[in-house]
Amino acid sequence: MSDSEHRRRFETWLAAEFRRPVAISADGPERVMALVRGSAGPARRRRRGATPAAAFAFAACVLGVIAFRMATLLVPTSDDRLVGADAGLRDTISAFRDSMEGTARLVGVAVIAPAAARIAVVHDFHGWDLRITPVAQRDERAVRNAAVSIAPGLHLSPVTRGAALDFADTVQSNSTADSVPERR
Amino acid sequence: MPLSDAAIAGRVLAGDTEAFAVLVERYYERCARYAVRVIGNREDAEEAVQDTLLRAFRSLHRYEERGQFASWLFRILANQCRSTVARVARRERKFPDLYADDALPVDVGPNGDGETLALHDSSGERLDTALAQLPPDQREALALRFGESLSYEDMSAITGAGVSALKMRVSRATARLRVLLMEVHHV
Repeated sequence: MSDSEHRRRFETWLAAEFRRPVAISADGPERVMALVRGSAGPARRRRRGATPAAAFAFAACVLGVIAFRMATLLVPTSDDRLVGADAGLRDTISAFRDSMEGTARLVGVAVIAPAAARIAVVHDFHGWDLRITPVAQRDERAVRNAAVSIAPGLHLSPVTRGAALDFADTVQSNSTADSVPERR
Repeated sequence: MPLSDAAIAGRVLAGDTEAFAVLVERYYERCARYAVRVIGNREDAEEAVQDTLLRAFRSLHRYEERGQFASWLFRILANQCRSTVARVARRERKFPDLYADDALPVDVGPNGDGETLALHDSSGERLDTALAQLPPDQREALALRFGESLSYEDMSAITGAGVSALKMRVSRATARLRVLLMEVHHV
């Protein structure tokens, strides 16, 4: 008998052995069903309405709006001598990041204000305290970074006009969507 | 006419939990046969099968109807068996004395090199003992190839290994088994 025929016969025998039934507990399937009945059940099918790409694009738009709005939160602290404040704060956002932290939204802000001695984020969720979120200088390019966690809900949003604040706007932040009302 | 696997999955997802029993009855024995061959002992194999079916139930929403339910289920089973094999190996390393008596008797072959098994029990036990000498990935490949009669492409989808790697595993494992079973197989 040739080796190939020997191997073929061996594989036939092997397949028969592998398909031979194994001894299993008679109540095995019932035990599985008991576990199934006690489990939470399968999750619902994912909605087919939005593709991941569309969801990503939507999220990117939302984050863009938030980042733009966060630029308006950057004001110099009280004892700053911000030279050319308007010019420094209009070119604010150079980068941002955003992630869900429970139900709060963590927003990173960056500002380039080389002429400013100190920058801080102030808002109603801080109680307008200038000391809570200083925007520290991270590199030699005068980029300053900070991150703030915004709880869901409506927040007063100041608009910088030089060193003065205008509390006319609001920013809404919640865990599923963000909408920014039109400036009045 | 019996319902298809996809139709039953649809009923389960619609809230008919008891419909899952049909899938359990349909696949339990087949899964157990695979798990016993890969894991090597029936208690751990049955536990792996139960965990697999429960996991399949919980994640049934991820099953795409255009795919084969069996392939999807075997992907879960293969992963579960790998975890179990690793857990059993850790357990046996930790308590070697506890498992020393469980090994089937193995006679050293005529060359005294331990390569050839001279066993005197049934063919199923001979195969189990020989399989225990193989690495887990080779046992997995043999069980899918010979036990489930799957193509190498289907095996690749289940295991995540490449087709050529699987062919090599099956070839090496078969050759090794032939050596291990040579004295008693006589074909």
